[in-house]
Amino acid sequence: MRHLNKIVIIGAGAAGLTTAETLRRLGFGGTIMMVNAEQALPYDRPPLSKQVLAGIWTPEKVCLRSPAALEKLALDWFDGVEATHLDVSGHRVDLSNGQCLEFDAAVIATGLMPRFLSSGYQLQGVFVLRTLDDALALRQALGAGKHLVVVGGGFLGLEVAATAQQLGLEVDVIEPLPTCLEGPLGRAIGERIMHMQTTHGVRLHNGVGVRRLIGNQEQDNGGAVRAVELEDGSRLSADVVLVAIGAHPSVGWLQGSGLTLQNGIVCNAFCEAAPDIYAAGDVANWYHPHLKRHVRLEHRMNATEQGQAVARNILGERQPFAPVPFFWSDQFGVKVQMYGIASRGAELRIIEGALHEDRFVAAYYEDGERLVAVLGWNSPKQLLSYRQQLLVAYTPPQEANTVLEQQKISGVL
Amino acid sequence: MKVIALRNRCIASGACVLAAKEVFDQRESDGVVEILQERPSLDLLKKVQQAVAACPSQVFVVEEEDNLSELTLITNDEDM
Repeated sequence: MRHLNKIVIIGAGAAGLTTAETLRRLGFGGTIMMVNAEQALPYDRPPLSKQVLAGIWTPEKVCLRSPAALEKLALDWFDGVEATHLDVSGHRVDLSNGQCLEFDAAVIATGLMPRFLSSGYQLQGVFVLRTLDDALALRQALGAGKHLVVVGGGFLGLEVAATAQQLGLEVDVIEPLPTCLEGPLGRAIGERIMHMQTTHGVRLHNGVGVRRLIGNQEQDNGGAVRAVELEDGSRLSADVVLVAIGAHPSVGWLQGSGLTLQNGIVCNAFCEAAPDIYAAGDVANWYHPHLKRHVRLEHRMNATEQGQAVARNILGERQPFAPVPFFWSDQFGVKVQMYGIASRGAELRIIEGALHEDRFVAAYYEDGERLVAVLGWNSPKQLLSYRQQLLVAYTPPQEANTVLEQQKISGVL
Repeated sequence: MKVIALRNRCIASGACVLAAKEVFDQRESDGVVEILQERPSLDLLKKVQQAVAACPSQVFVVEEEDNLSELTLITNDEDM
């Protein structure tokens, strides 16, 4: 067996920590170095837009593991530093504090960076939401604020809108597309979510973009935000603004490393970007052998599943990573969950309940009868039973043994 | 090994059921985890460990992790 004594994991979120934990669970006794860009202990992100923002959870409740459990993993921590350069063939990574770490295997799990508007961030009261610090700062602003404008009507924007509305703020959401979440969920479910939001008093502005954020010291474009100007010239007053227009993979530091960077880090079916170099979580654009295409998922469940898969593959298991994608969103007490991926244009059929009811299950079909995704609306247990039917689409195809397919699966790209 | 399910944290993903359906189920009404066997056979230890690891919302707290001669599961509806 090849020499495997030192593993470096770059990124200490859910994917990175799961990789470390799985390595230990499977008996790896060598050195595990964790490069953590933040000072905080590894924490979980889904509660940031919900329980943390609502003030229901104290910050320590989002820790992924207790200090005692982390201690037991015996990891070498590099806190508050970022990786700055990866030497792929030399098996070394440089850190922002000047250190250089040598490794036998590396896992890149650097996650996402929020996308920014082109201007307006100098104004007080303008936020993005990615980190725990972001969430605590936004929570404080919502506590003092009266009127929140959310730029971007995706999952994050709508979850924050729901939380803020329940905290008693006036909330406007601006979404350039005619229907929120039409991409991942289709138009009918997107409209259902919009209906739920507006029923609770959130004002949605679809089909219009943002021109600029306006401060209360307009001459020098400074001070605190007081309004958001839309492309049609209308203005929405605001004392808090959340910009939630998506995120991009944190791969800037890998420019010039030789890894293929295209919508994240391009990996083969084993989540390998190059020999002994793996990616996991939001940054990994890996070849899904059953979907037969590269996929990058910004889902919490994928961070865990891919972290586990990478750990097993590092230790020699070499199993293609072929999960059934899963995500959830909580808004106004409604739990929306989905297995699979529905392409744009997939046909939606309600298979339990009805679209206007408080609970239903929907199925997405492509090419007529091929089930590609199932969605539950307040129906977690029911949804799980339909996942079984979906597994058919995620069963290894026999023709995967063709030469081309094998090259895509195992070939390092 | 003792596994405590902090049910207030549960987001009803069903990941534990997928890992160990002999031990875990979901409530019909909201999908929150239910424990089917409080003292399952030790044959199920690996599956329970995988369920703990698979949970995307850290519902499970493990105590006496190194004691692999006993397996006990309990729910806690107070703490988070």
